[in-house]
Amino acid sequence: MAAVSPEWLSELGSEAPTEAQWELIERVFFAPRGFFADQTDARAAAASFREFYTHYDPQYKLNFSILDPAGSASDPHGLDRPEVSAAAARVGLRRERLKAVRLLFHMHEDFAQKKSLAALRKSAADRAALPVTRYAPQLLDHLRSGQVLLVVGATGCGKSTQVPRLLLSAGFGKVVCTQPRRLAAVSLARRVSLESHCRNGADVGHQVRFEGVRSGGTRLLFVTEGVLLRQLESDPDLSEWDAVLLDEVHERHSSTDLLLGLLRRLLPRRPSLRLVLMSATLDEDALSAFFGGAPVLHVPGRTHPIDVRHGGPHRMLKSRAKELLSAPLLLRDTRSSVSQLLAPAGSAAEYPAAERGDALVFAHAAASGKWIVLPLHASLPVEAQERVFDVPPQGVRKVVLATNVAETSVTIDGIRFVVDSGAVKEMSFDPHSRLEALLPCWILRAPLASTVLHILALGVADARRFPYLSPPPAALLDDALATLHALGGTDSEGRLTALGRVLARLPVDHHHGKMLLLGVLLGRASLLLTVTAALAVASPLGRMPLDMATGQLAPEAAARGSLLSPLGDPFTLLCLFDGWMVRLQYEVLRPRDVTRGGTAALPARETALLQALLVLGLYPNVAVPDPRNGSRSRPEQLYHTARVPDLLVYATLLRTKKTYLTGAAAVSALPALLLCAVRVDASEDCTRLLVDNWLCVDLPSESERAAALVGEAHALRRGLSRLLRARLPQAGCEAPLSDLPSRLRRRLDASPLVPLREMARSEREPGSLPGLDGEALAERLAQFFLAAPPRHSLRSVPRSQLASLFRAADALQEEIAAGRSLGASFDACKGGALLTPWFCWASARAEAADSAGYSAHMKRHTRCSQCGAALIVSLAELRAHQASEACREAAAARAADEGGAADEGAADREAEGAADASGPGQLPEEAEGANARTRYACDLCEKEFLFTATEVLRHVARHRQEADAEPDVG
Amino acid sequence: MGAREPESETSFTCALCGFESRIDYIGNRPPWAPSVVFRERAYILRDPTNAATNHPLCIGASCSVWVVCAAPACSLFYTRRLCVACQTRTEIRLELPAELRKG
Repeated sequence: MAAVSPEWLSELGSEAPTEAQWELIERVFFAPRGFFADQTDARAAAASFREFYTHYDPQYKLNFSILDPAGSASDPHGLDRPEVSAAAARVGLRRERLKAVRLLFHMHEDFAQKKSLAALRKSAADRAALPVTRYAPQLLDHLRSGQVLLVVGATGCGKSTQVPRLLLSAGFGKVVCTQPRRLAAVSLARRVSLESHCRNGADVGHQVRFEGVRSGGTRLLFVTEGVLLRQLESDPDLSEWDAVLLDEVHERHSSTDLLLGLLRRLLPRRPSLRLVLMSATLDEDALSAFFGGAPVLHVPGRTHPIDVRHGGPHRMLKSRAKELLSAPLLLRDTRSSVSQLLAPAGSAAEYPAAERGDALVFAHAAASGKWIVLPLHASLPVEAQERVFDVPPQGVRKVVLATNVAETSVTIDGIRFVVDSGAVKEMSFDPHSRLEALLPCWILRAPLASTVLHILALGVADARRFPYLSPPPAALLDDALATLHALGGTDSEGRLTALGRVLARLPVDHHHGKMLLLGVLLGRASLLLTVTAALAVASPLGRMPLDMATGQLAPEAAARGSLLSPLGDPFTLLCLFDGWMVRLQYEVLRPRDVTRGGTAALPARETALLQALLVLGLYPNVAVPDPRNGSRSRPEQLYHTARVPDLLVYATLLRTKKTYLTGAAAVSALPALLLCAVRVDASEDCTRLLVDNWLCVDLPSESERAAALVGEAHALRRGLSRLLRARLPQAGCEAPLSDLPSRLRRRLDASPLVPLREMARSEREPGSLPGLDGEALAERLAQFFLAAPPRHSLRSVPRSQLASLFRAADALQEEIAAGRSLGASFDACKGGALLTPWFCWASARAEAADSAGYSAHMKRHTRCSQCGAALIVSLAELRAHQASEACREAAAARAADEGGAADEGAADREAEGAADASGPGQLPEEAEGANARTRYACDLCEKEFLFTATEVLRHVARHRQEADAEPDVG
Repeated sequence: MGAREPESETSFTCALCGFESRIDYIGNRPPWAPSVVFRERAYILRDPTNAATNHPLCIGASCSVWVVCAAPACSLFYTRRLCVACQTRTEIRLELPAELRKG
């Protein structure tokens, strides 16, 4: 700007002061000497030193001068430059007043200098008053003598700001300080850089997930824990840093624990590294012991006296909370609500409006004239978050409505009142149901899977043996490993795969990461970027307003109607994003240049592909409807669409008062399960598929089509893994599977289900399946999801029933008896052969009718499918009955009687015989415990019975009693 | 406005109030702001309160006795730096124009 006019002239803007304003300016600033009156150069007039002092001239109060870079030696301020004269003429400024304008600008600059300096001195004085300052020498002594130090001090003692600064000024080299929250990292960097009189980004910087301010000379860096973890991945020795500070250790996020474990491993390797753990409250003994008896420094006291006043549950809070939460923020009459909210603090009466006194309100959501209301929560963009640090104009106070992100490590100057409802909602994670709960409870804050993924990526071979500060339960770890395995991030032994390594590097949730990765490989990068980004943040739509009385959607919901997609949340989010894009284009471009239409027009093929990618990424997060939901007195499942989907895939399971599936999308069940399941157990004819030990799909009389689907799923899985292998670095090659057990092999060869045979062959002869390029694969995936599935039913299987659905080892007991090797492809627990790593053939029992809904030893009314006899038996008994001679004879007689019906019976028998290798006359050995009846031939009375173990004992006892009684009779 | 002085010192301490700071430059012409000239040998920082701009901030300078900070509590500038101690000395105080005299 200096090229056209000097800096000071550009400040003038487009309007010169009016004459009246000039009079005022002259009176206030220059009156004593009549600066403009005589127009003489004061410098020339002041011939002597004494002259300066007797004739006050404000321009000699300035210790600096701003020159015009384009000015000459005779005219350093550029007053005579033609451009300057032209600019002055443009705004109607007389030539002789240019000088005055220049001086005014200088005086303003002088004022700004004094203000900045005052701010620096104020912050230095505040700092000296912080309790932690007194402990500085001790702290540095500890660190010079030992590697680890724990600092414990109450909130407000200044440890978060001062300890990093101390380390920096004491010459501990490059220091990195972690914070659990982005906001804290950013605001601390800002504050510490101000306090150490550095410009943010030079000596002191910050680095959070998607942004950072740092330079090569940065010696103190505030980071989030995740960022340091990522550095550890690429540089396990942390060679860049000389000291590491972990702040807010007491919060014990999963990443904190992970860092503690990793740093403990690192310390012996880096004797020069210093580690400081800071916390408000600390289980210091445990932590000190974890680091081999590290010293603990207690910092008592806090800066400000705090006056706590307890208010009862405020009426306003109760009655208006709903309104505040549901209403679009700041649209209602919120002024009165804020003053009511602050009424317990008595601010209006006791504290005059002229004083400063900002308020910090911990609330769940934001709710203004003399109040500037600023929300502060984690999902706000950084610029919006930083607004809370701005100083409001005189006479105006700000209300910061904050979530608990503001609780620690964030210092907002000017805050005088803190209103805390005392309630807190915290995200926790229930490993058993993979359910995130927004509840005031403390379980474990993050899904362990991502932690485990990082542990593995950091080169720890076995996630189970990592030195956790407090080890998570084994069941939890297993669940995490299972989730990763389902995603393909780890192999079956829990080792990281090439895909896992990439997922660990991506700074997004591992589910989203996989979706993105596949999206890119299949040429759908931008679509998947939109979807995953939308899923990763909190939904922009609030809860659907339901009319409580009728259970129907409230009228407001209609406004959203056009945006809601019946396919599920990801599609709705896409519609929203698209609508917003179109809107944006209208704002920026002329209407005729707007190119994109709504995504409602996403072609069916793309929709199907997106569904496929959603399932591939989100599995094992799938849900099936409870068939008995409708018959419950209070239905537990509510759908916002008319049609109940048969399978839902969801991003998170969220529990507030009720349980919600968020990011849910309806998908075609059969393709989804076949494509993603870790393990599918099929019956020999493929009419029953057991998916991952909890879902059962029955496809009665669809044997051929089911097998074809399985074959296609296999081809797609192979295609995807080929594509991944081709594109990922260090992907190993797949080991061919071992041979099938000979007996099953013969049976498979005899089976009419060709796709299965092909599948087994392709796994054992590498290269027999043609590779697919991305586009062809995308096409096939879409078709797979588009094709109408065969008639099937889907239900979840309770754990108690599970055992009865597998054939277990009975199918091959002869081979086991003969001691023949069965090979690795045989599943000894379930029976059946692994045709591919995910598909186990002939391990599920085919009989659909007799076991559904009942556990193995429960007796029930049954009609024998062979002889038609009505029986009250358990499953084992039924099988024994069907194997008996009596049943066969009765069935033969029935067949003779009923003609046509006999064919069906014979077919049933055939299927039965094929499925159950135990053969006629032999009773299956069931592992069903004492309640199962077995045939018992009594030697004494020479009769045969069906007895349970107890009944056998009772029978024998009776014989003995009879034997004892006889002599008496005789 | 003589030659640019090298950064011989890296820290600043006010002799009167004890205010400490690191400094970026000592002298008349901060190299990063060519249009600004100081009329004394000033202790200069890049203004940390205003990260967006590159304003040189004068935090202090030498009076005839010692180095003091530029805050009004410690010194004033009127053609040259005068610390409060100097201002209160009778002979100097009488020479100051009435507008600048303190109590």
